[in-house]
Amino acid sequence: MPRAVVLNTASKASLTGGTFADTLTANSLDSLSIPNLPSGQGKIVRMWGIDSASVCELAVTDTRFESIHDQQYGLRYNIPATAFGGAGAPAAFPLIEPPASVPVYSGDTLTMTVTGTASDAVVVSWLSEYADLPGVQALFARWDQVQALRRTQLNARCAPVASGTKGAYGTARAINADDTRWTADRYYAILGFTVQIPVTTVSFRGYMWGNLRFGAPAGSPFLTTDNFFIDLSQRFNEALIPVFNGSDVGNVLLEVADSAASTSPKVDVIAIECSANPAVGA
Amino acid sequence: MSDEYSHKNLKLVGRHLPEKHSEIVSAHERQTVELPGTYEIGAVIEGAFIPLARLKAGEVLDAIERAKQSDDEPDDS
Repeated sequence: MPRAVVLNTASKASLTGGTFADTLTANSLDSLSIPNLPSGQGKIVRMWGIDSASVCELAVTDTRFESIHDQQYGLRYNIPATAFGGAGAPAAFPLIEPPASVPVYSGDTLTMTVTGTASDAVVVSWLSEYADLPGVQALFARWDQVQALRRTQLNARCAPVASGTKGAYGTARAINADDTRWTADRYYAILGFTVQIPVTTVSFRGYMWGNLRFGAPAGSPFLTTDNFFIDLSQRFNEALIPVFNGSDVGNVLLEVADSAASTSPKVDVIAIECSANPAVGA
Repeated sequence: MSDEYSHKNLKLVGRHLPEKHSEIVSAHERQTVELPGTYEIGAVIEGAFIPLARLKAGEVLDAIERAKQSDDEPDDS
């Protein structure tokens, strides 16, 4: 049955401020709801977040004791937004990191509230893994499969810009918009990327991944993003390296979200060109 | 102690470095737009600008705007 790994982001551009007084809302195309899962259960395998100007605390709740203990505060996470050179510089801090994960349940809904400072922006992104998501047959590979089928490596520039509204995704930019060296009919495995400017979240989206987002943080603590998807795949011993065919290159879309308006991280995507589809049998 | 310093009374300065970006309008058309870019704070040493901090200009411009609005608010006291 089809497995899926999905990136979601929730944000608020300008907090009211106060003790868990602000509730984050899902970004465009994203959702705080857990989809209907035949297996009944999924898990959040990674979460990261940022406050634009001050420290803040996030509370993640849903309705299940097995997931978050209680609904008063649920899972509380601090975001030390003023570390690493001061507010505005770090872009993202880890909240859930492998091998830890948080189980979530079919049909439930996450709620994210924040204790923060008035006028700050807060952005939280997370990767959820669903062992069986109906309607999705996403292309993901394991590292050994990618290595076995390697023809060459292509590192290509793509320059998406974050929205003028803090926390929101900016305009989607095709992965070949700034560098057209991709070859039709070749399969590409995306290992990771590098950026010039730290940014909260880099999203990849395309119909080869069920038109759902997949992505990674690119804040100061995450500057080794060059092999992010290999690392994720190896930590969970699962196929988590996204794959696409070069014929679909115009439909592989990059978007970025950040706690600052109009951040331009300039993404260099790191991909292995394969002689066949490395996602087969993954 | 201060005699040990080769440069005293250094001046702290800031500069805004907007960024040009090629925005895609359609399959055959692009337009250049200006993004906030970065804001550098640094010291000038014998005419050379030495950056001490590099910030996202969007954050700096936003903070300046908030400060202006705060200054414009009437004082009720």
